[in-house]
Amino acid sequence: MSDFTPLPRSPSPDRRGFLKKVVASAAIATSAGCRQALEEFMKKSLREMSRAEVKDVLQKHEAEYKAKFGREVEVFATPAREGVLFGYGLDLSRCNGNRKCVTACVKENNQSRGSDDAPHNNPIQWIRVLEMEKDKGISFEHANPYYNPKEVPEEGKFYLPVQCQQCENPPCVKVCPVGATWAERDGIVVIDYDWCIGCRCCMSACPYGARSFNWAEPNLPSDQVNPNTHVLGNRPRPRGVVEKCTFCIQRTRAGRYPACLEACPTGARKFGNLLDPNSEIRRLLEEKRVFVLKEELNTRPKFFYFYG
Amino acid sequence: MPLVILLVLAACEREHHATFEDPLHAHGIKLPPVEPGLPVPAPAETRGFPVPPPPFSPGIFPCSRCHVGGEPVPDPRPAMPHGKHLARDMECADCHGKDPKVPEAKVCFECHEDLAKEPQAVQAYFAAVKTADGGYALQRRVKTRDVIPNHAGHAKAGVACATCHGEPADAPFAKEKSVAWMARCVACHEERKAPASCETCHKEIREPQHKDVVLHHAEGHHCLDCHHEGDRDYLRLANGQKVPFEESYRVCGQCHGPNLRDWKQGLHGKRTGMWDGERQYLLCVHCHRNPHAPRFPSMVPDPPPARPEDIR
Amino acid sequence: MRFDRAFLRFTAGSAKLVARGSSYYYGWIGLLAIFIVLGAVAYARQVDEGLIVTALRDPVSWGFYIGNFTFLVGVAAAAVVLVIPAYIYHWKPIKELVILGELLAVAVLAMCMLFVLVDVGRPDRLTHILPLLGSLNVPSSLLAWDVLVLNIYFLLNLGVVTYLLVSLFRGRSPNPYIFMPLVMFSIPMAVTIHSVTAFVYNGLPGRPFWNASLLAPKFLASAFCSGPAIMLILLQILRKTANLDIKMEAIWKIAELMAYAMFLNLFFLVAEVFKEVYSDTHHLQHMRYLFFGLEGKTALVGWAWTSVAASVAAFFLFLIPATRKNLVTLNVGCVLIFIGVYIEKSIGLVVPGFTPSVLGEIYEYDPTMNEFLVGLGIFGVGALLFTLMSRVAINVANGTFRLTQEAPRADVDVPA
Repeated sequence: MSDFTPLPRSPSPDRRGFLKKVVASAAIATSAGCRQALEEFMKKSLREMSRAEVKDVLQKHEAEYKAKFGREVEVFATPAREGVLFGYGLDLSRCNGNRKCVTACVKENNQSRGSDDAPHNNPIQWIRVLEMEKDKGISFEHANPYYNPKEVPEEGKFYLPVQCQQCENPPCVKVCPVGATWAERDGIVVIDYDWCIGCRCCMSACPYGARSFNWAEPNLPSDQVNPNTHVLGNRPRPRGVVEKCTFCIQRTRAGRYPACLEACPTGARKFGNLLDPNSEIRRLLEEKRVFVLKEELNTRPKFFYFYG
Repeated sequence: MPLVILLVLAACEREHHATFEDPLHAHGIKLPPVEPGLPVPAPAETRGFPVPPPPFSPGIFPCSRCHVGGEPVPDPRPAMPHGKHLARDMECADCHGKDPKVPEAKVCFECHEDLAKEPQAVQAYFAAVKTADGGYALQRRVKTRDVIPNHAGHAKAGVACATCHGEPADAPFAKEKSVAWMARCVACHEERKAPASCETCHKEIREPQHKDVVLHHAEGHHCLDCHHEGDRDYLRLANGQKVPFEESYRVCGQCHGPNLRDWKQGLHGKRTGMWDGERQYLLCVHCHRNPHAPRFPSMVPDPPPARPEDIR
Repeated sequence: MRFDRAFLRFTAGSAKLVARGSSYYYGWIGLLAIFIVLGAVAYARQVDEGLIVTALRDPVSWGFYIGNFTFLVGVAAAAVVLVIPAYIYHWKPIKELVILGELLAVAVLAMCMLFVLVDVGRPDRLTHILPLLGSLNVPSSLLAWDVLVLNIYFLLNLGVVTYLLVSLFRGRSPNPYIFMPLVMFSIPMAVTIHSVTAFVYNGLPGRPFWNASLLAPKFLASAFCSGPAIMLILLQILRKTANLDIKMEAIWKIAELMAYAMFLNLFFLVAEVFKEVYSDTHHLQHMRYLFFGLEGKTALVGWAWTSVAASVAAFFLFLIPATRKNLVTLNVGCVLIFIGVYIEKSIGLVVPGFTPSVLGEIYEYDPTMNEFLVGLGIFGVGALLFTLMSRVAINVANGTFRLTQEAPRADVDVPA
């Protein structure tokens, strides 16, 4: 089985595999020149690949990125660890809306940068910090993500950063028509960028606006590439697919804190293993009164907000 | 060799005075860069994980260089028995004059004409203050460092001697000065709307040290509530216990108990490194960079996201 | 002659049939060809640069394409309006129209699939969504179900009309034991395709504008107005241009059914508006944006009221027998219904669902020229398909396109 958490799915790979073999043999018989198209056609989603096949894919991507960016980019497929379920905490009484997390996230996760020189100005940000009014409380109707005063925090305002909530009951996963997005064992909802068809059902389904679409070729200058990547996380994305926060899967599966947490100058961000009773996130759940966004939708986020 | 070091330090001091703007730097001390893994003893509260050095610590330029350190030295000499004098209906001014100063020995001898006829205690007192040349020098027993209150001014303002000196007992000056002393001065000054800046009393504060230190902490706090009076290279707890700067959180935690508790569990403050392994705890002062005004400063936010209308 | 050989003859004959025609016919085909070329060029640009050439952005990630898809699924489903009375109640006047209704469904379904194709970011990976070849995420994904049922419905309609036409072409009456079960099956399928399309929206609790249980019934009600409205106009055009013998009785009957459907559609609208307005929760935001605008952003307001006004006016035109049976008011009503439902089911359904976005952002979606051109191209393809297929069908129904045993090839008699 693959490195990735298999979910029950249909139709069975075997049946499809047989069908593909038939079509593929026919294609070989007719033309030897369409090998690339054939390879594309024969491809399976990452979840269905064997370990060896995943390794091939990683090497293929590394070669592709080397050609594209002119530098070594490592693509890992670090699997989920046993006994780990990631959870995130965010202290709303500390966050002052400085957006350092956003900047760090873009840098760490190879997101498309805004640029006037590139053919398209298509920046993507996985974290969106909402400015809200204290006298209105948490009300998305009165939220403003575009605030830009000289200094934060502003009088009478508070700030609510929103990113992928890594739901236990993720509405985005349910609606994907091709099963290109799924929840891993450690609770991270991931996307197979090679399998996504770009229908954007998941974006309609997400109640948190956490998913972004690559409307044009992402603009990632070679000198800004973070070469430490995960195949389901921050590796450079192609155009026409959906992407989102993965709790920095390339860092957190290696035991490190996510980039947004380390960048936060106010210490508002907390992270850890929900299954470890001594972890910071578990202490948080036990000591503080926490809440999740849009609880009534039963998405069961693993992203907890609290007032510390 | 030590002289060379001192010269170098002095040069550094001058150099840095010119550039420091952060009130924390008013000490004229170059702060070591905050880097992970510098050898700072790990406090027990951080489960053995190291903390980076605090942004301010007296490491290379001790406070004690200016604040002559050390505990007050107990004076072995017998105390002036003020109580007995007052019991004879004497006024302070009878000996200390209108502009109070330590009386000369001859003032004593106006009453105590023949020492040989005096009681043993009085004889012992004069024996103790006898100088080498056979005269008597009645001197202040414990120096109040650089602070010499303007007694005439206080008297003019109607401040009774007892307001500061208390009801003189037999040995009022033999006691250590307490922190409450300065606090009492400041409280009284503030109450009477008298000037209460540091320089009012501490005439010898040199420019620009401490000049920029503005205390915007809780109301009614003063330097020596947190800084150890006797050894300025340390902080102090309310019970007088010395605390190194690396453990300043213990000082903060005296009032901010819930925050200290949360900090120990990782719920307050910032940690970096590994969520499941070695991580670095930051101290209170790493984020609340100015402990004299610890309110988290306003920040310039990073640029806002592009509006969808502008993505093209 | 066996069915398969007759089918080959039918195909060859059809190709000949559609290649010939009057200058009006050629003009019409030429116009559609221009539309298709324009659409193809626009789509090529979209493939080259990405969906950034559309006005779609993260806050409003579906728009013109999916709106048209939704509207057209309704039109395709509405073929059932003609099938039910024709086959179940054996109404003579309607029976001959059924073939055309099913042809319309086939052409419109082809457009639906094209609208989905142009909307996806990776059309090169479309095999991933095909049954058996890809990894269709059933049972959990409604879009996967939608792909399944649309394909089945498409094949079903194509199969039925082909069988009927080839049978008539052979001069035989169609075997009811073959096509009746299929027709009976296509009735629930028609309801299914539109319901499942509604469920694609309906099953998203994060989007309260769509997450209302009335959505699927409302979809059906509006489809049963818009589909027949298109049919009525097409039938009249064909009456004029193709000598098709269509009895007015049938047209009036259809119009009457449309009045009932429109009543239901308006009633559902009132029910939804009441629920949202009286509850006055934050869900009202979307409806408020649609009808009144929010924060000074009022792009949809004109469209929304046009839609309501057109639907209400059409309802009365079709309700009152005098206006229903008057050809002028009937056609005005059809156009009004088309306008009303087209706005309601495309831009008026998709965009307010996204506005304000889940995080409260208001992005005013305004389709780009590129999107319009791609849409135009797809409508061109649909119209071309329908024109060609109906040309064959009419000639078969008229008896002018018949298999002749003597001649080696089908004789084709092209009407002027």
